[in-house]
Amino acid sequence: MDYADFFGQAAPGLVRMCFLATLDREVAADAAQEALTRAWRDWDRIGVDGSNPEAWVRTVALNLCRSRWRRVVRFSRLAPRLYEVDDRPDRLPDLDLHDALRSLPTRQREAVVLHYWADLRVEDCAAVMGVSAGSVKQHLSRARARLATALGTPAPDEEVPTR
Amino acid sequence: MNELHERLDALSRAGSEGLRVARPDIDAHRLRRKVWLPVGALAAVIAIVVGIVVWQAAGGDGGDEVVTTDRSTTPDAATDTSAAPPTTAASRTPMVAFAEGTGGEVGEPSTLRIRFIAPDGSVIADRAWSEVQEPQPGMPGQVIASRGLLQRVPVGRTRIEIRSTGSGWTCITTVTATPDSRLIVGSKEGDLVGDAGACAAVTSVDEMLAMSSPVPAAARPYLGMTAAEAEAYAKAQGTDIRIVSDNGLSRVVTMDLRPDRVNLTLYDDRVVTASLG
Repeated sequence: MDYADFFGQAAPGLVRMCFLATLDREVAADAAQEALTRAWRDWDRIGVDGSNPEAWVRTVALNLCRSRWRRVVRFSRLAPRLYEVDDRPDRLPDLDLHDALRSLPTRQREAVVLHYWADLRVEDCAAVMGVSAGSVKQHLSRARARLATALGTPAPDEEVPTR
Repeated sequence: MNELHERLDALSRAGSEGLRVARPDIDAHRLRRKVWLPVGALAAVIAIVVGIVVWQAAGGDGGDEVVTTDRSTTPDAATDTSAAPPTTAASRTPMVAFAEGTGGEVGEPSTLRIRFIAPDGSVIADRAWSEVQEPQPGMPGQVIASRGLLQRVPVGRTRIEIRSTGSGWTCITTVTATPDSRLIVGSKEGDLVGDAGACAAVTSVDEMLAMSSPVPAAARPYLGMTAAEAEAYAKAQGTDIRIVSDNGLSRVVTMDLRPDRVNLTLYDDRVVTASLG
């Protein structure tokens, strides 16, 4: 596949995934841009037939989201706030879900985004997140319970078990 | 699940509205390839020429001298492992690794007990998660686990009872082992869902390998090595390595991306897969 085609297909979804993973527009755009640039840099290696550049770029983007989000959080705790950031804009359609996602630990939120939004199988989530399938199931299970409590709705269905 | 998907979808659309990422310069990419491909080809030609010159200076192909080597009686052939990594013979004893939580996380000593029970009801082993927990220096009463708990089991079905003597939480799961099985059981103690079907997750090393990315060439030498062998090999190569998972227990690791670092996954003190990053 040509990089230009890959970029056209992957970029919009990657930005959205990063937004759901961080709930921060700046961090999301920054991480997606960096991941796609790294994919471009390494395209000779990751763009070959039989490879999975989409999974690769998701993994890199999530790693970047995680590290940059941590940096943002750490900085915001240490530094006086010199400007106002509208990090919960009213134009978002579902503030309950936004807040419920924000209350999840990072790994649980990532698992929810990959499994319930990107529709990845547990095994594929595990490959992207760099953890075992069992660990993904654990994150999903705990996230489901937390979301159900926060949203006041029944927990979403269990993911299809692998055995 | 559909409702959650739709709500997430709507949130992601609204949240990323107006965000744009720029495509890297494709022309520059082509230029880079145009520049580097000839340079690479030239370097390869020079390397081949230099190699031929050095080989001939060292005596070429040895002329008419015939050298035979009986590998079965050559001591070096039997003992020298420096040229190639040790290979792992397939395990013929089924193994189960039990893992709880995340490796490297500091916490209280665990009260989990894991009983492995044969189909006839006899107890194969009665183990404790605290066996793999180690005291944390400078933090009295705090412990960490850095690897899963290994247990050999017979071929066939084995019932595994996981019980917390502290909270009374109990989980029962069953695994079916073949002679080469390398299974991983992850418990979910404290899980709010916690029903019998979801209180433990069972997977295997083979499943883990099937969904892993192919091992890069630079990391392949580590496959099959013990942790000690891998450390020695890495030291000799001047390479940084780290263990990211041991006996099914994923460790807390930094998420920085370092293309020259080798990440090792161990099972039963053997590297089963490796990656760079």
